Amino acid sequence: MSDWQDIKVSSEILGHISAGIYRSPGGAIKELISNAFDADATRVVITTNWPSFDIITCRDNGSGIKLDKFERIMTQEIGNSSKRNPIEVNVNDITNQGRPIIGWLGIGMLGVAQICHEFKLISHCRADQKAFRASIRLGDFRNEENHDILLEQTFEQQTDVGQFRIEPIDYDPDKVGTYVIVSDMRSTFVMKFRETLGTNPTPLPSRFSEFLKRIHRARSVKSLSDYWQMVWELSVACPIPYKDGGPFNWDKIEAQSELKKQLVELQQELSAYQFEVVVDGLSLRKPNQYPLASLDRERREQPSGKLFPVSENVTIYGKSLKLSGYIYLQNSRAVEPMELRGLLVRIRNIAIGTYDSTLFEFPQVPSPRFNWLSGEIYVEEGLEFALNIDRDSFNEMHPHFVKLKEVIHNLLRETILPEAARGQRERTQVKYEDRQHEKQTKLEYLIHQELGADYILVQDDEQQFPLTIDTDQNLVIVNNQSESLPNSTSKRELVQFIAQAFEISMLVPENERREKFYQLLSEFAKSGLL
Amino acid sequence: MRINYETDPLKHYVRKRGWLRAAKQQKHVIGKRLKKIPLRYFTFCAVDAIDVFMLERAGILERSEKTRRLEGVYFCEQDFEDFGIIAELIGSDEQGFQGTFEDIVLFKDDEETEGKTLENEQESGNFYTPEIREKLRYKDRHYRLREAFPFDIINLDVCGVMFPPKEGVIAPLLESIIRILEWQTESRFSTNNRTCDQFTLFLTSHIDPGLTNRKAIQQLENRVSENLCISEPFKSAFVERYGHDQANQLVNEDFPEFFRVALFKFIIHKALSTELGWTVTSEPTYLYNRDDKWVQNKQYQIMHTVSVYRRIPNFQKRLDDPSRAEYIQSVTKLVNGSVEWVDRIIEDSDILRELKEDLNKIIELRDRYHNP
Repeated sequence: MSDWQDIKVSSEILGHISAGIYRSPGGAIKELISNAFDADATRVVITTNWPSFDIITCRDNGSGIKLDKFERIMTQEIGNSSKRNPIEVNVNDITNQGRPIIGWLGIGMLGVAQICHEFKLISHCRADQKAFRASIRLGDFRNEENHDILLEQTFEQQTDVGQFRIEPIDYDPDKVGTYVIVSDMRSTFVMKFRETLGTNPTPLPSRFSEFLKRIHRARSVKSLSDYWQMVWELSVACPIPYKDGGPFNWDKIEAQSELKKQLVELQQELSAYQFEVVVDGLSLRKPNQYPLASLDRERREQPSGKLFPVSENVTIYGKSLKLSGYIYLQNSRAVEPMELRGLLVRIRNIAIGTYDSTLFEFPQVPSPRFNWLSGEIYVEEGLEFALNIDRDSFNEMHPHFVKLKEVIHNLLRETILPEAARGQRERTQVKYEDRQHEKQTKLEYLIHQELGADYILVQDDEQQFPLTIDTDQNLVIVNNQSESLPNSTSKRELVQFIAQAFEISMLVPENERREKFYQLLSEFAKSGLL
Repeated sequence: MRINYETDPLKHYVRKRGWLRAAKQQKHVIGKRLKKIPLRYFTFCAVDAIDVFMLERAGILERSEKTRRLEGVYFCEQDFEDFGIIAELIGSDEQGFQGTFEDIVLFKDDEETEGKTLENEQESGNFYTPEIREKLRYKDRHYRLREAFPFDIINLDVCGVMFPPKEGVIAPLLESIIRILEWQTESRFSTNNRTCDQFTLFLTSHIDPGLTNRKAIQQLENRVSENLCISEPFKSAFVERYGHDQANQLVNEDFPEFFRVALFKFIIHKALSTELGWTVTSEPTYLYNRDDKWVQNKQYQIMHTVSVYRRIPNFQKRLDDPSRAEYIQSVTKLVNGSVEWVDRIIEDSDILRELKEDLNKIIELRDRYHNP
């Protein structure tokens, strides 16, 4: 075992680490998964020791890390050059297996600092057939004394964030890959994860469809616990295939054939990576399902929707920005679970943050129609420079991000939201007409019961009263526009039915009228007309 | 060189003939519970987890219909790397305990940990040092393990000798077993609030007089000698079996046999004590030599014992003193208990083939879950 050596990072990075660079523990674990993807792993297995959450492990079967590279990262590269230099980023950066490189090795590893004080890393490297075990001890920048040291650093300075030591071990070809063991967890993480489990904690099912069903029933992932939320975030973020080969039920979705083709190709690309992420025995898939069939299949109409393409290819200040993707508009029904509402940006198939339900701060008072939207924007080129160091959010003033917002906002303003409004109006009209038709059918049935099958219902706006019965011609004449009727639609209908009962009861002998009148009201109520 | 338990027939003989048979009996007892509770199994299963999958294959451990995970399985593993691999492999609904088993079980607060928990660091207003955090992790695991009790089967398949030379006379492992008996006595199943009335303990130890605490051997020897003086039935059984009534002679002639009797005598005595009230029945004991015939390692002996603990009904309310008579009876039975030398048994090629086939089927089942 070597002596402890200092881990060097730039002060800028240190600031982020000490502040907790990731929004959630899922963000930190996502970086380990990204590193595994870049190491051409086909399988990453994460365990959390649920429900204790006192040890988290992440093991992949990728190519492993060379010892000298690990040492270089720890002592020189974190925040400086890293696995990829963002300044020299090239869309052609690919792994040996042809995957796009998505992670930042050093920052990815130190991101774990957010959830622990110390972790271990074991690597069996295929390339040099050597193995080592490293212990990484991270400093505590939460107390005032250390925070002051942090503030004294200048931007360009390098500083120590902790220490590491290395022990060479025997190479085992059956263990090729990287194994990270996070044991000395931060109390805030453990406390939060345990607390939100509640008194009757639900373990993860071993089938992804069961996982989704459970979320669907809860309608929100967050309500299930921080642990479920973490698993959800990983399933959204990682470059893994969609559930059941794709998120779209094409029988229920209207889409241009070009967009459809593009999305099918994307699904094929994700499947071709043959990358599997398993958390506590659950093999993850991308959880998007559009439309998500209503659980109450008999009582609720099944939702449907429409897809709108997102596309842009532009050069800004000499840097290319190339986007594609879709925005799904669900017809008058909120997208579920609520964590899928909004827009998600993916750079090289890795999600940046979570779904933004503000639609990149769309400048309009949020309306329920925003909840009908869910979209994924795939960035093929650009935006890397707009990423904040956490790789989980954007610098919103960056020209590429400003352009992205403009493209999306224009699409929303000019096409999608007007379409949502038009669709809603149409559906409301159809619903109203259906309801009127249904009522008329029921009314005719009751008229036939009371007056005889030869009576027919006619509309005449010239009649004085809302309803008149012509016994000579066997007509029931309805005037929906009568001045005697109130303005409100529902009240007008009510008055019409009372008038109906009144007019029919007037046809029977006087001493039976009252009884008839109440009998008819009762029948109308039972048949749903009142 | 690490023993490959995936091919080792010696250990598997014990699993199949000793553990599996006892587990089936325990499962039968559980079947009588009013409310169905899955069998609760605590194990030191190591990275191979063959015992776990053997019990699953036999239908003794069950998978949840909802989650398709094994139910009621808890494990303890000291090694970090192995811990994660076991967690992947078992994928249990329950949890693992990383650390030294004895340190988890015997944890006691000191001035640094009193009033502190892993979770209340923020409330305390102080940042804990790495040393305090380490202690608090053990504290946390101690309480979580305590909460997990009672178990139906406890498999203490530990490495090393029971009484290491540098430990005290009552070694931490033995002290932990006594604590386990206490927890088994006090705890109730959370699902139906009932006590555990019968459980099975598998205990494994290396037998090596050279590596065993001399004082501990002397103390065990003294206890056996005392019993030989005061109990005629025990003395008769002892003489019948060994041809003499001298404890020290047995230590020299047949240390594994002495160790078996002395250790269990100690445990039986404790289990029957007034605070606990368990009778203990010892099933066959299995012994084998580890030598180069099977694995490349220095020669030593391994002892596996299987014992069934039954709660004495209304023990504390009984006016007579049942412990004395039951103690004598149990210890006498123990002396008469059978011992199987496994390395001799598996010289039979049919038995060896049967064991290997069985192992392969278990590994196949395990790998089906692990590498679907």
